[in-house]
Amino acid sequence: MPLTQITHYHRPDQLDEAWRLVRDGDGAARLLGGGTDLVVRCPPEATALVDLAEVGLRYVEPAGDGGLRIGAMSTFTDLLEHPEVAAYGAGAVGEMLAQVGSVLHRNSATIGGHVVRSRLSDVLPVLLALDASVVVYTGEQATWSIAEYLDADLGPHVVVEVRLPPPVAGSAAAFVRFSRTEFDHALVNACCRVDLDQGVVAGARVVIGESVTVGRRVPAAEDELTGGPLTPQTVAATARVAREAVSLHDDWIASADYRNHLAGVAVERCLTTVTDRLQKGGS
Amino acid sequence: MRVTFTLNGRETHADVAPGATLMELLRGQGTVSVKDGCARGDCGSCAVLLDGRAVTACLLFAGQVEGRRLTTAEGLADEVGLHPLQQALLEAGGVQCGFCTPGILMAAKELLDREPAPTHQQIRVGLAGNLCRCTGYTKIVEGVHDAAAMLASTRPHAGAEGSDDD
Repeated sequence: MPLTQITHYHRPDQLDEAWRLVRDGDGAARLLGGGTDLVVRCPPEATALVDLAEVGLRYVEPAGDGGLRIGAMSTFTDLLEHPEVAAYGAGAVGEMLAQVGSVLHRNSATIGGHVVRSRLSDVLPVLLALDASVVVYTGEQATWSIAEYLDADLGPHVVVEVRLPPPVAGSAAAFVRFSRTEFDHALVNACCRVDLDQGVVAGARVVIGESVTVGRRVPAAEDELTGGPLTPQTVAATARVAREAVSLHDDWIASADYRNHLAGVAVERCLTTVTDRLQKGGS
Repeated sequence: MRVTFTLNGRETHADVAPGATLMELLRGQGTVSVKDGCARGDCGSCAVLLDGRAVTACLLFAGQVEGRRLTTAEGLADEVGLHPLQQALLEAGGVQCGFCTPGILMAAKELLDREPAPTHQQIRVGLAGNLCRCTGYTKIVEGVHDAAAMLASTRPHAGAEGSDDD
């Protein structure tokens, strides 16, 4: 269906110009990344599109601290085909990207657009577990942790890039999702990361998401895991704590009880994979 | 607004509304192989190649193809005959009502350009965004396997032909 309310299409080639168009648009100007979400869910008040294709935000570069800078206009295919991105988190990023939509979607959808959308996401739990950050432009650049960004009400802004921190030795992550069909939004997804130091869990991230929310860390599960060895017993205990700590959605697709149960299963499978990856050397 | 792009090897100019989708642009150009199925990226029947990558035309705005290279199913065959993918899909029984076929051809074209000898699983993944309500997929997957073999047997010619979308 044509979006008849759109009366202007801008293709700025400068970041500041894109930002000004959005700021001055007073809600009527929408940033356009890959387009996959905006075409279907363009709000009725939007009358102008600001296409970011010429702004120069499609890149993956090493960051000065040893991490990775991912330009907001990078498609999921760009990232899946980038060896360092796909291998990040002992393969958790590539594992997740390969499950996002189909090839047709991954060739168009951008990571910046996905972060801005902030829902229906398999990507965000992984970014949360990996302590990623988001660089935004509002006349000047600022860096937010992904958790802060998702909770903030920034008003008009341009997401410039996503940053992955330097890989930690002895660290590994894994991602698991459950959905009715391979192609559907996740009923439940989870990403877990473990940092081992001399056989002891020095740091842990347990993130659980579902189709209607962006994913949240589960501190009780992280506490359960931290400070001891990573064994099948601690994995099972952490999964049990996670299942009891979360309170997931209840709707016509799945009951809350079922989703909570899946959350425990997802955490157990993630941590089992993490254990295997750490035995092979981790990140 | 005016959009300039390359469509099946031809430089093309088109005037479209700012909110027009790529689907509307292409069907307005007469490339009716681009099927208007679900219009929300679920069925893949509008798949085209954008700079060699398969995308759903219903989920892109027309303005996004400015200066870029598009290939539709109309661009596959030449004056000699059908593209090996088209021929193989026909011979394998991978075409029934035909509505989904152009999109499947384009997704398969991208797959074979990237991976000339795909595994069964790679074909399934490559076509995961394309729905077919007639064939049950088995014949389509067989057709893509056959096309890979046909292309491999004529590699020098196929390579020159295929380079347009690389």
